[in-house]
Order: sequence, then C-alpha cells, then structure tokens
Amino acid sequence: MLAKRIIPCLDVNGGRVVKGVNFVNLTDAGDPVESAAFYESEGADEIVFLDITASVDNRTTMLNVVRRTAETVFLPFTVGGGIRTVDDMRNILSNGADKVSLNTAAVYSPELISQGAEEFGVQCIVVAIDAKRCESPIQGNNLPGKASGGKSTCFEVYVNGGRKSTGLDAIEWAKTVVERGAGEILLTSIDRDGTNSGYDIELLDQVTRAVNVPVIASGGAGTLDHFYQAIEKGSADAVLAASVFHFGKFKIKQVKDYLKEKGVSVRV
Amino acid sequence: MSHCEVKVVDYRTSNLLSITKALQRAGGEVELVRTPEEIEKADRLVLPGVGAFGAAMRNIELLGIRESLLSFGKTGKPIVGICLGMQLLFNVSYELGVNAGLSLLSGEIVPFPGDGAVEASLKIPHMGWNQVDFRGESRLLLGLPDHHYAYFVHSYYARATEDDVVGSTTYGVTFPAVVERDNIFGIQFHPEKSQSFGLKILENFLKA
Repeated sequence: MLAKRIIPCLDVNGGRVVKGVNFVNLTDAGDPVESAAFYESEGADEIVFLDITASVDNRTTMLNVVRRTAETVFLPFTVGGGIRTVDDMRNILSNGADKVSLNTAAVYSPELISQGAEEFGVQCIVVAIDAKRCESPIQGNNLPGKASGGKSTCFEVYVNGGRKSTGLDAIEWAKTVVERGAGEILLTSIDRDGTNSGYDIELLDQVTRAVNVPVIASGGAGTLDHFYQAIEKGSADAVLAASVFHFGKFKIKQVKDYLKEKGVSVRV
Repeated sequence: MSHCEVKVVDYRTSNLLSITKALQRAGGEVELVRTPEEIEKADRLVLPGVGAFGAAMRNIELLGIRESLLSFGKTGKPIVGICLGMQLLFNVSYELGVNAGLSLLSGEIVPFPGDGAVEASLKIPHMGWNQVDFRGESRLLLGLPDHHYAYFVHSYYARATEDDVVGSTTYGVTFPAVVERDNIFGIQFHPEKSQSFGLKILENFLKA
C-alpha cells in the first residue's frame, strides 16, 4: 500500500538552518545537509528545504546545499523559496533536488507552473499554497473562481511569506494550479502555523476533495493525534512539520508508530 | 572494485547526479556516456530517465544512440532502465500520443486508471513510498526483504510479460516494479531515492 509520508521541513537562510535541529549531537547543527542526513536516519520519508534567503546573491549558496544533499542523502527532497523562473527550477533540479516548490511566483505568473511541468514533468512541480481563513466568500472580479456560495468559512491565498493577501480563493486556486500542471500541493494554514494547535482539517478536507494530486498538510502540528487527524479527517497524503521535530518534541519514528497503531499505512 | 565499472547513458535528462552518487555508493565506478562508440564499449549500462516518454525517445534518436542501445541489449551485457528508463525498454507507450520504445522487453506503457475507471479516487502521479512484493527468483532483489518500501514517482506503468516480472506493486492496479529477462533489467521506482533498499539493488546490478 502507498504509505502516508512524514516530512520534516528545514528553513534555510544563507545556507544555514534557521531554528536548527537542537537536540542532536550534530557536529554542525546549522548545516542543512547534516540535518537532512539526520532526519534520513530517523526515518523521514522526504525532506523539504525552504530557502528564506532574502538576497539574490546567496542563491548559489543554496545550490551548494542542494548538491551536497543529493550527494549524501538518498531520499527525495524538495526545494522551495524564491523560485521565479524556469532557469531557477532547472538550477535546483540539475543539482539533484527531486522537486521544486513554487509559491508567490506561481500567483503572479501562473504560466510558470505550466512551463515547469512541460520542461521537467508534473512530478517535479509542487505548488505551495499559504491559506488563511476569511469570514465571507471572497469578492472581486480578478478571481479565477469565487468561493462557493453559502459557505460561512472561506480560505484566501496569501503570498510573500503569508504577509500579503491576494484575493484568491484557496480552493479555486488549488484547482487552477493542478490544471496548470502542479503534481503536488503543499498546503499551509497560516492561522495554525506555529500554534501547535493542530492542522486546519476543514481547509485540508476542502482542498483534497477538489484536486486529484497528492496534498501535503502543513501548519499546526503539536500532538501525535494532529498528524492522524490530518490524514484521517483531512485526507492528507503527507504531513509536514518543522518545530515539533527540530525541538525534539517528537521523533519521526514516534509519529509513525502512533499512525501505524491507528491503522495508517506508513513506511517503517 | 574495478569489476564494477558502469556507464550511465546521458541523453539530456536532468538529475543524473543522484543516480551517479548512488551507483558510486553501491561500489560502482561511474562514467557518463553519450555516443554510440561509448555505449558499444561499455560493460554495463544504466538508462535513467525522467520526463515524458516521447521526448526521451526523440533525444535518443537525436543523439543517434537508438541502434547502439538495441545492439547493446543483444550482447548479453547487463543493462538496467530506471523509472522512465525502464519504460523505454518496452515496445510502445501511450503517454501523450503513441510512441515506439526500444522493444528490448515485450509489453506496453499505459496510464493508471483515472476518473470514472476502476478507482476514481486514485491520485496521479503515483508518488511516494510503496511496497515491492516479490514474485519468484530475482537477481536484483537478491538478499532483500519482501514487501519493503521503495520510492515511486510515475503516472504510467508497464503491462509486461508475466514471466519477466520479479517484483510487483499495487496502486489501484498491480503493476511491475522490477522486471528481468536475461541481461535486461528494469526498475520502476527510484533506487537512488530509496535509501539502503535501493542502494542494495544497485549493488546487485553491479554484480549481475
């Protein structure tokens, strides 16, 4: 059976891990490659690197991280953050990453999704969607589609690290990115991110119903049961977390053991 | 380990780095090859591949290596196709039109059942870790545990001759994960992304 994936996410700034893995005896806890190798040994199914480097000058630093990871870690990994062109994608993929994750650039230039999918295949193109709850259906004529009427809750897409609203309905946007060639969606709830209060199940449920590609749940993991709820109630194909793993609250194996006991198919 | 020389066919698909590093880790001395002459001289070939079937075959034609791959397959020297590379070994694919393959193995490449078919809820691509169930004796899977997980990413699968299938996986349908016929080998998943399970398979190939 296809296993549900457990994915630790590493934020990287200028080639160094932010909020590093602080509970292990790594020679260099700030080294993304060493952190990734540690998670590989812990049973992670995949790794996501989010490059939060602001300056363009440091892009080559990230490419070094990608290359060194591909040389030492025999797991699939995704790189997101600051990808704006097909060349950016090519650089990352040719240095050994398996997938690239598009976010802000996909909203401003949706054709980037199709171009990437045509050039590298849909399996390489992840679209990250940062969604935030809103009280009433989104209004406006610039939408590819409006929130379905009658619903009390809607979800709006935010960009620029969750700081800027777009007027896009998250569910409609999810459908759009898949039509354009996204092979996977990384769905983050801005409301839940960093709160440890659980994934946004309603958001997950709506998106997983709307699209036919794998969806990674992100934002809010705080207990073992949160992972289970995202998979069971939200129909997530994979669950991503950062702090609960980095700060040693849970080991990846603990999450897998818990899920397995609940009858979820995991790779052990 | 000089007996482990292996050539990886570089026909302009990306991500040769991962497969190269994995083969080195498995004990191989790896070199990339692009010309008919280089392929002819090889003792052992890896045909990697990502992207679409038709585009990959066109690149192979453009590089003028189609014939040399075919004759290599007939020399009895081991060749393994990985992911799309495995699919290229078969007769024909129905991915984005109809495209002829190398016909080193008998069978066709078809899409997973989509909407309205067997399993409407099947998500495409088949992406992630799935189990490889053994079917009889295998040189590639020698010494490995049955029902172990490997990393898959693909939207099409092979309908192969039953006798050639040594490992199968189920996703909506049961399809070949590992195929073997004499010196021709194929792996649908990514051994270079499947941790020690994948590295051991590559090691087995280097000994085949």
